[in-house]
Amino acid sequence: MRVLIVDDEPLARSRLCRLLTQLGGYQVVAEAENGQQALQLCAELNPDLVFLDIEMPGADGLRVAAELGKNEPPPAVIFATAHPQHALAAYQVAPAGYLLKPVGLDALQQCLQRLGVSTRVHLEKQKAGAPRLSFRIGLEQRSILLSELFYL
Amino acid sequence: MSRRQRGANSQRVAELQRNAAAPRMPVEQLLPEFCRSGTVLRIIILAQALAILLALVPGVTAEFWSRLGLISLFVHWVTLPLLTLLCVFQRRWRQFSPPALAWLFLLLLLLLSLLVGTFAHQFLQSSGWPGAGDYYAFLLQVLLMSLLVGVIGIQLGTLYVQQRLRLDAQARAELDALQARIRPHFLFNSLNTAAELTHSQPDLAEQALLDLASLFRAALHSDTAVTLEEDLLLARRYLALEQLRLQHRLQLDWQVPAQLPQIKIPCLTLQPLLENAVRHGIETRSEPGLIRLVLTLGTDAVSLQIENPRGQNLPHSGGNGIALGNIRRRLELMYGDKARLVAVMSEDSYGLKLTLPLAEEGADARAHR
Repeated sequence: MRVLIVDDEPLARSRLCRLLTQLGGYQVVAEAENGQQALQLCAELNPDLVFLDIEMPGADGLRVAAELGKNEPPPAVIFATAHPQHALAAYQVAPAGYLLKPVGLDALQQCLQRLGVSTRVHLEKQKAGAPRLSFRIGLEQRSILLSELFYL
Repeated sequence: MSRRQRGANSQRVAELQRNAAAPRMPVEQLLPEFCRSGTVLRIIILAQALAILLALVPGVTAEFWSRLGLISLFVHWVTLPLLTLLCVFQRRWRQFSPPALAWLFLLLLLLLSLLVGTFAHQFLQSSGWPGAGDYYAFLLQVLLMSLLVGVIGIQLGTLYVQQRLRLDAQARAELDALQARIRPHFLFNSLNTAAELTHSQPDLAEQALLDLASLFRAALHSDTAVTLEEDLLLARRYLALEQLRLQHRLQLDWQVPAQLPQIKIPCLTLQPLLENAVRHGIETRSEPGLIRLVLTLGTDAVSLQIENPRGQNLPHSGGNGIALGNIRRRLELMYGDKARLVAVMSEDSYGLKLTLPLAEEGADARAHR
């Protein structure tokens, strides 16, 4: 998985980088030290996962996350911050996780495990856009997903 | 400079000015609760003591006990209505400044004395007491005595309020210092940094934890006074932690002479000033910034200047200005008006100038245990 780390503190970035290497399976493609740089790197590199600090000079993490959310499909965002009080504001930009500093390996692992787990809503939404076949039984109009058809 | 930046800075100035205005506690909370039975009892006992004092004056021929009885009667007749009025009006004190309250108290006392005095004179004359004398002379005596007692009362009240303010400032200083250390941004980011350093540079990690420990210890003892040198060391340790966090973004120009005078200042005076400098001048900017600390020794004062670049608008501001107001108060308690803390603004930088008197007599230990 391709990862971008955004934090204004170099040691905080290298900590996340080291922990991710330790876990394996994650490739840190770039690091950014402020919001603008993060947006620019995201546009260039298209990472799958972005770790975002919230308090940064310039555009803060919440604004960056909101901006990233406009992409189609957007990268998953995990906030890494020292402040528990931003959780509510963060929730509104729909992050995949919220890590509190100092970041521990266990917390990071749990957060990454939850990542990308699709819910029933997720599945239903996918069904909504999928091609369907309409048919009629008696007077009743019914439809079925093409993917759910059995071919005999 | 953008308009937003200017707005943020003028906001900061307003904050500074607001904090410069002294008592943050409303007046009605500073004065004793006049409706409480304990206070009433204490004041009645004081009034009785005053009556005994007046009765004991030598050279008066009238019999002691009857004299004491009459004086007590008079004193309590003034005291009890006065207490009642104070109790009733206590809720409305919010609107008055302390000097206005003092005048109000004096006026009430004199009015009550005038009233009770008039009645007393009539009573004394009708009962044929020899000491009554001329009405106006009697009234003048009574009013003069009331005035003096009132002035003594106001003096006692002032002492009481000052003591309360001092205790309040001290308690607040401890709380502020603790909260400032436990400010999640500083504490948890520092710990995060230290956690990373344990792998890459264990020596630095050790140093960071020791620095953090000394700052916490100082915050727990922020009611003590330390030497200027010790406080500078604490500030240095704080900056070392911030430099680990912010690295090249925080540049330091530390101009402090090797020989420092042995003057005492309240513990953690300098660190919050530098913390403000870091928060406003460094953390809000992506590009590196320089914090300059210059200490100059004069003949009768030490002056310390802290300068930081003007930052951008602070995204999540907390009550940082509180620290400045509090430092001012703590310095005032220790040095009176001899220590000054003023903000110096310029186009692209923000500075604070702290002046401390060199003379030892200014720093009296009473404010700080």
